[in-house]
Amino acid sequence: MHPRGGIHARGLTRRFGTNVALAPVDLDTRPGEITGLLGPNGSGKSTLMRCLVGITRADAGEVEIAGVRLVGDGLAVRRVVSYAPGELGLFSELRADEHLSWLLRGRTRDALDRARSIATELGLPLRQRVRTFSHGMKRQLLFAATLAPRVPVRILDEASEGLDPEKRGALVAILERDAREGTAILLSSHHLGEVDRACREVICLHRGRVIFRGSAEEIRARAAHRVRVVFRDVAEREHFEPRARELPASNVLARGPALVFEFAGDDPRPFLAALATLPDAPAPRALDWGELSLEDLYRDLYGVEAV
Amino acid sequence: MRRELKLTLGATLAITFVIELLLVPAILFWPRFEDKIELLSAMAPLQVLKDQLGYIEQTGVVGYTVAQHFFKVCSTLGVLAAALLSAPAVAGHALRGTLELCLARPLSRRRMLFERWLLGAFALCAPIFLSTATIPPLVARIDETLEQAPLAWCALHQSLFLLAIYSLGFLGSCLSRNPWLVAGAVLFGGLLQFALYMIETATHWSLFRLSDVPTYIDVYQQRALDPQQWIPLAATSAVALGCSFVAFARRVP
Repeated sequence: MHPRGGIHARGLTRRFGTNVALAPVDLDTRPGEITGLLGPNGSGKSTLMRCLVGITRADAGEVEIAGVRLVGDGLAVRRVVSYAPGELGLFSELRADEHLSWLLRGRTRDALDRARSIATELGLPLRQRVRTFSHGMKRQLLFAATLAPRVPVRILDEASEGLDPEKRGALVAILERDAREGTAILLSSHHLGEVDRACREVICLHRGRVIFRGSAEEIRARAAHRVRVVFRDVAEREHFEPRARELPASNVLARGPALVFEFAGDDPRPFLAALATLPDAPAPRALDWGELSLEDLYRDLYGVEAV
Repeated sequence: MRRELKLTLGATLAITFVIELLLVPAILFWPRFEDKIELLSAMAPLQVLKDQLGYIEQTGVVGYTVAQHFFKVCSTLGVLAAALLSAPAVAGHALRGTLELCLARPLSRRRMLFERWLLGAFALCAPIFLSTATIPPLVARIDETLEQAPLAWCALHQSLFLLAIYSLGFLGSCLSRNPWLVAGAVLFGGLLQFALYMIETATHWSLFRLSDVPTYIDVYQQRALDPQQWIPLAATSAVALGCSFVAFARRVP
């Protein structure tokens, strides 16, 4: 474990019956940085976040956040972390102002003032009852409560879910400002553009395991080693796939109507030449190289389209 | 906390109002009841009811008051209140999806749970003491006298009885995700116990033996709780609360 700021987890494991929610996961985030946590539904993102703040007890592993070890019910850790759950269950009968007060119980008085200020900045009517709020407004209310306490670490699960692009942009801007002040932020999201913009490091979870960990630069570097060839449909891709294995690529991944080829160097010309001269190869509908976005990475890693 | 306090205060006032609504006419009816007690005893369809009327006949307004207020109103309404106050304590949050938000705050689980238990217990017990305090002035209106202190002992015994039921429901709420299931189980258990009480051959199996007319007459006359009754009741609450702490410590949203 590291006696310093940020989040440090080692061997975090959690099972629900026979279902492995977290196969040992190691995690490190640094102060002043936003770390993105990506993964499809059921990949273990929420379980990981809950384990970090002691809401769900890990079966094994150690957690240290901002120099505080997670022990017992995690109270000591929750004092140095503010956490926004992904599940958006609020008390609809309360006024927004009252709800902020409820959410910030256990925090200092000035946290409530800051929450009001952030909520106002986001344009939320604090005197209205939460039942009159849209889904996005409720999400912003929770966001305001999470951003308000002066803590060294924030953990946000799907913080921008249900927000329009403009509000998502505003939210990312606030998070970036907070990170510049030295806060370590762990942000799970399905919005890859948001993660691409805000996060220096990205961690991808799949079935409770970390399958990718790297910086946005590393992701872009991986783009140079991949070519995606899109065919007319899945049938055409399936028909061609056995022969595609003959091409000079170290790995071939089937993704819908596309095949993703990985090769060792960063020069695609030998591969493209071999593809062009392969007898009876169907004509590609699209061909991507060097443009690997997080969305592409997501699709390539999980075989599912990102939201 | 403000939200929880408001809810508790609202529940306390509502339960007190309902109890008082039933208590006032019951007390004012005593002179007419006293006149017809022999006739009512002869008409009673069950031996258990005949026995209750016998106790009332022997002790007069004391027996009648404790029968009406504690055995009839507080016990039956109290079981309903215990079910409705305990069931949503944790399972209600799970159903609404607010449990994770509760747990995300920098408060210890033990403190959170104990606060919930305490507020529910207050909403359950305060109406019993409040309504009991109105009995002496009410009986004075029908030219009878009852002392406040022994009635307060009866209210304490009643509270311990209901707290045991409430604490068991509270434990169920810590284990369940469905508050309606917990409330239904507590109510069904209460009804079953009351039905057992009414069956002459099975009445000794009923928990309502701990909260019936002779019990309250004894408490009133002795001006003290019977340790053979209050200790098991208090222990039940303590054990159920202890188990609730254990269950809630491992609870996932």
